[in-house]
Amino acid sequence: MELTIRNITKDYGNKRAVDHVSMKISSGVWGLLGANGAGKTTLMRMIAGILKPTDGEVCYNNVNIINLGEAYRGRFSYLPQTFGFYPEFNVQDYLEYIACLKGLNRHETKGKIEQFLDIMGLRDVRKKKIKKLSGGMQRRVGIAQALLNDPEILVLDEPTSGLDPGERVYFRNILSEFSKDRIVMISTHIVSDVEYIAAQNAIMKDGRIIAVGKTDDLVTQIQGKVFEGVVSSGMYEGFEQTVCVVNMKNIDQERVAVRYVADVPMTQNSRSVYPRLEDLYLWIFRDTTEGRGGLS
Amino acid sequence: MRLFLLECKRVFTSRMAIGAMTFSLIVSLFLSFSMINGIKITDRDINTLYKGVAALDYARAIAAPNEGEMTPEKLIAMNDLYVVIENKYGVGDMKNVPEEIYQEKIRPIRDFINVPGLVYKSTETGMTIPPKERTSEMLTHFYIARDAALPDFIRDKYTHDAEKINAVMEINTKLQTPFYYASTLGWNDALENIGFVILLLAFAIVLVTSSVFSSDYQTDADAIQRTTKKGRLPLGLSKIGTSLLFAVVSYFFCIGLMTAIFMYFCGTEGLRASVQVVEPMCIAPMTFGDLLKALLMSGLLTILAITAFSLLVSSRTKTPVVSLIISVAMILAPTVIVLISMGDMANWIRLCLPSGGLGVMGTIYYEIMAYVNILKIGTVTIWSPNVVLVAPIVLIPILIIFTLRSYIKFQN
Repeated sequence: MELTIRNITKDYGNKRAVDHVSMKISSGVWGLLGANGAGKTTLMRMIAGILKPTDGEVCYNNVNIINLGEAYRGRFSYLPQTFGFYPEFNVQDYLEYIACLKGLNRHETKGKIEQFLDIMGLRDVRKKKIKKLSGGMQRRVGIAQALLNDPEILVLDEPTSGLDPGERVYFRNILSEFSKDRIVMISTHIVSDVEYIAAQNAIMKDGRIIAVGKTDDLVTQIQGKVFEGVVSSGMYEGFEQTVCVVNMKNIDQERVAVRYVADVPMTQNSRSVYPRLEDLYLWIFRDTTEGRGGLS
Repeated sequence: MRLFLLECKRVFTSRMAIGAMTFSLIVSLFLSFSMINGIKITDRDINTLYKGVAALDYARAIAAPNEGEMTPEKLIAMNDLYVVIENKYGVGDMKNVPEEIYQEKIRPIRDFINVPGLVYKSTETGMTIPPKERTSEMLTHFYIARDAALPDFIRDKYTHDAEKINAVMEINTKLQTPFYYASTLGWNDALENIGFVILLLAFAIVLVTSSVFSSDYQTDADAIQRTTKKGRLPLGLSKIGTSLLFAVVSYFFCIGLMTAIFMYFCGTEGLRASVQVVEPMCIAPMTFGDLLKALLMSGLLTILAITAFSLLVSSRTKTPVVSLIISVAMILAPTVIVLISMGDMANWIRLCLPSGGLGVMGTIYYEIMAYVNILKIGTVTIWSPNVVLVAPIVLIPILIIFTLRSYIKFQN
């Protein structure tokens, strides 16, 4: 089971959204990290077959997904960033409708719906209109529809946006469980969503994949560059302007504890710490809003 | 099939569809009953004698004895009767005839006097030759005289176009004579009203169908559907099929109900009457029943064509509002074109639009009864009602194919 992305490019007029991306994606959870506008959604929509690449191809088990057509879509599921649904549908009607679209027969549909109503904790709201559910519950319906056909490839675009921390953990666990012998690709700019469950990560910037690998391998790029230290409150503003600060915490009115990435220690009391994916992300995107502390 | 049924369930239970259908039904009922209620039979001073259902019943009752073919013998007999009454009260002017006598004797035969009146005109003044001057000889050859008068009647419209005049005469040869007489009171207004409701129904239907694809693009529901096994061709077909079915069901509910109401109150006798009883120079070889059938068929085809058009627009636009505006503009286009021009080119454009059979004065009823439009393409001439009927038959499959293609290839 392998999804191969061969040199794909997507142009919108003069703007290049995805720039010659090549990747081989095997089973497991894949985190696609990148700032807003990095090209993650465009790349995912090309993998989903919604967008046609300007150049290059996406192949599943070495066959172009365009040629596979229905056979590919039968093994595939996608949850876009905005979960669009019909306002007239309740949860059960919606799942029945999508199950039919996914080619499940009546018997399979019934079984799968019952299964996912339980797994997703939707049983009590099965007759409720989706539009009346909370954002978190709507996302659960979105995930449930994506899992109905037992897909070999599951692509989720920002699946946890707008969710509270508890629900984020809940989704992570479900996806982690589901990912055995499947390709699960999660696009996000929230590093913690994939840090603990992704077997592999791909980091995207300006339409290109700039790094691919396991979390531990990726973070070796900044091994010895992540520090924790203390700066005085008065100096913090200037410190933040010059250094990539990952985290800050006020100790008291005069001192601030900081975690930062830099080539050399920037304070006398700094000590080197083991890097995390979040550190790497911020280091890579230090020139963007998110990299300057806009990270969730 | 299961997908189609689920799509039907979704569309037919949506608030928008229920609202549009309810609105259309209420308007249909309101217009039907207000039209029937508005029918009046008045005396010559325009005082109401009968109103609504009573007027329709009365008109049918007085026409019943004379129902049948308008043979020359009947025309002569009615003309003689008219002249006798006119003479009896002196001065050859109906004004002197007492109202009771007029209502009793003249009203039942009025159409037999009026129909020849449009044919027999003075060659010097152009005025109608009065009944007392119409001889038995003239009335014996009424149908020949009518045919002979036809070129003059249409000459103003087609001054130098012999081909068009020939085409009119050719169609006219298919007329069945003698004309068939029955009370048509109510039917003329009924057909106009049905045409108007078809127009309103078109608005209601595109309100629903113009968002079929574009709404999914906007909410990104399309992204989930498109990536499923049956998310392209089968779903596209289901969506198109459901929309067309919605249009057909709405049409049968509203227009079917209206037709049933009119048939019940105006009676079916009028449907046997030749359209020439109302418009003697009309060239359509039809009865009012045929005209009703043509209107219903043209209305249905046009509704399907405009639905298909709205689906095509919807499949190509990302916002339902834009899709709705374009569809509404298309519905209004024939009415606007009629107001601007009735030239050959304007007529071709108007009638070949998906909304060609719609409009305040643009239904097939007007093409048959009010206009004598012969359209030319090269040396071939076509009578406009045929274009109204054929254009949507050609357009519907083309629009559906383009919609399907556009939906499948759409990238969002």
